[in-house]
Amino acid sequence: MSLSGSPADRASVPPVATSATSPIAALDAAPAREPLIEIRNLRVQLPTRDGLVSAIDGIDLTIGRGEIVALVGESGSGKSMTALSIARLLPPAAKVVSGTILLDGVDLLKLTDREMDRVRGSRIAMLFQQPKATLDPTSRVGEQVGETLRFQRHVGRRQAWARSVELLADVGIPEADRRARAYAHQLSGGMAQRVMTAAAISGEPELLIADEPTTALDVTVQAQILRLLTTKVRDHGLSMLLITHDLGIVSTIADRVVVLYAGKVVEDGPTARIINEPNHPYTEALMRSSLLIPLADGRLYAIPGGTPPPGEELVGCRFRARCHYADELGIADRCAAVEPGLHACESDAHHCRCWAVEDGLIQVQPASAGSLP
Amino acid sequence: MPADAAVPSASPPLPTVPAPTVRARHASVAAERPLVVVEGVTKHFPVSGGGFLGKSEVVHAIDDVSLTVREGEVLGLVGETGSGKSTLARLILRLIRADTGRITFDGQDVLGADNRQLKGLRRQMQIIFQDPFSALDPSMRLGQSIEAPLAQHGIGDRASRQVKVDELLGQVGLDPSYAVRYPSECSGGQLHRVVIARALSLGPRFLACDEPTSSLDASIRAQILNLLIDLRDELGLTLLMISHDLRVVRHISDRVAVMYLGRIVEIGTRDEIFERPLHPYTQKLIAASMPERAGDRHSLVQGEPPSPINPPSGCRFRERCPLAIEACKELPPLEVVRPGHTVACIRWQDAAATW
Repeated sequence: MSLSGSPADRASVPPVATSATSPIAALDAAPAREPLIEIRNLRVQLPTRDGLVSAIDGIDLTIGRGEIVALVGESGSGKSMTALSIARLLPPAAKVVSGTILLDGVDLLKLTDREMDRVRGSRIAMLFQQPKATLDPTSRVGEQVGETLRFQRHVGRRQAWARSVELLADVGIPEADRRARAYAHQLSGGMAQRVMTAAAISGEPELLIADEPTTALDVTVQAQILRLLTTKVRDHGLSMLLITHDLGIVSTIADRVVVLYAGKVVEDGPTARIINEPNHPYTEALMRSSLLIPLADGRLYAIPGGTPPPGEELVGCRFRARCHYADELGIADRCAAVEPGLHACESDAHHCRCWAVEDGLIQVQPASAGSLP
Repeated sequence: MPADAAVPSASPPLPTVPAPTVRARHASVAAERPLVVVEGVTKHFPVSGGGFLGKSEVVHAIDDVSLTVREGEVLGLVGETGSGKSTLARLILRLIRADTGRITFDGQDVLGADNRQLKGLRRQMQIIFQDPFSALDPSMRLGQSIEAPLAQHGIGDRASRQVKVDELLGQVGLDPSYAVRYPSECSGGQLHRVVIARALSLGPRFLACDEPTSSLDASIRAQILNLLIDLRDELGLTLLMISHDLRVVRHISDRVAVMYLGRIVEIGTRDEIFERPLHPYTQKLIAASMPERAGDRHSLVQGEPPSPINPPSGCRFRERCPLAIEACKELPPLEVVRPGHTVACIRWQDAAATW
């Protein structure tokens, strides 16, 4: 299957309604936020039968204070590995080969384990996909919500419990004083994710990392949890790194989107731009296939081929083998030989890693903000 | 993919695929012939731990459900966790037995079938599950897994079955080299194709798909949905598509049934359900998962689905429903209110006005 087409067809990705009501251009003018997290040239390798393979291959990523950054990409692109690197929760076999992860200018990778323990919970908190599996089945949820307070803030047991009940009520759990005494198995998935949210914000962290926080939940509950997360993040001025494959969620709550492909950032920019005017051919293809909008012949668009298998030596552009522009524009040799760098697009806030875009061979046509058909 | 898969004729008869009935996608289902008919089916599961002298409790998984799947159509089945979608599929295939009611497949009684009849029925009805990793034996080569149902039913000899396996792999877009691979050597999308190939091995007429794309990346999801539609068109399959992803259901279904806590609350053609949802629950479901369709008119639904152990009397959605009135404490009947549109809500006209 090929995306029918000349470069001029690019605008055929329909625009998605985004939370931004202001014109897209205004987003680019938004003042740069003070950075909270700065990841520079992070490389992580994992041992496999075929030797060490790169899970993350030189990622740069900045999360501003109070900013919600969405990290999107297919399975194996390195989304979760990036998140785990920040919290220093990588599997023991994984190896950080190079790079720095600065939190307020302090390199987390250089902290001792004890120092890192103090960062987790009080400065960085995490939410996972399976809230019920993340909770300790043998302890009451009220105890778990209060753990950060007790062990990091040295608050007494009784006081921590009282605060837990407050927090549980705050995240929308009815009869919080009774529910605090419940165990994980007595909660529904939605309730468990509310409990995890309460636990995550209990230590008043600056960064919340949410790895597919609503994927395992029912749609009506998903919407509730997303609203809760957004409210808490905005109210407390938190930064959030949201990992998701659901572009509907991205368009509703993220300020900025970072697109990963095979362990590298291929595009990043303001949400409205990424969703409505994706520059990188991969981002465009991802949007198209995610929205499940039938092509003229009634079939769904699927990105041809698959992601490069781990361990394969990657020369040139990593998306090259699946990209139809490279052949159509007659630049396939260059794409296959030399890897493009991340270059600025129309503004400094928007970057893309593609020869065709850098050389202006693909004309991105702005699509007016609107809604799906 | 070969349009008409030729079956080798040398050895004992292999299942032949039904004549291809290619037709336009989402064309109105011309043949309204019912293939699967579910009438007044109820399934309750006892809850363990009722205890000595304790009142024994039951989960009302399915309560008095009636449903018809027409030959050649794709019927989408949507609803949240605990709504009974998967239970309904398992009841139709008699992987579990219904407590009461009647289920027929092409006129043949499913509930009363003896073992021999059941074996015949299972050749015609197959199911694929959400997680292909757990649906395949990790110690068996994929070819062996695909061949197993053929061997089980004593179809063909070793050699002819191998040919059939290669042919099935081709049908789902995999090359024959996959036959000697193990599940651990494949991606989720590839294993999904293998599971589909295995389900097709006996030449079924009816395929129940239980959340077949939930664990997949967007691009792979599109590939699998395209494959299912191709197979439907080429083999004239009838599909029951269970999913909580309304975009998937909207794309693939001819008709859609909405379940809530063990009951069907609304059923209609795809366009009726998505353009004019009449049950307040369907409206909330669409608003939550496809916000662009509902705009700001619909707020989030409150609360979570109540426990199916003690479901509310009358309309089961009434405790979360913005339109609920006193009369909703009586069970609302499923009524045809528009051509091709049935709903179980006494306030459907008021609900329609809110959309």
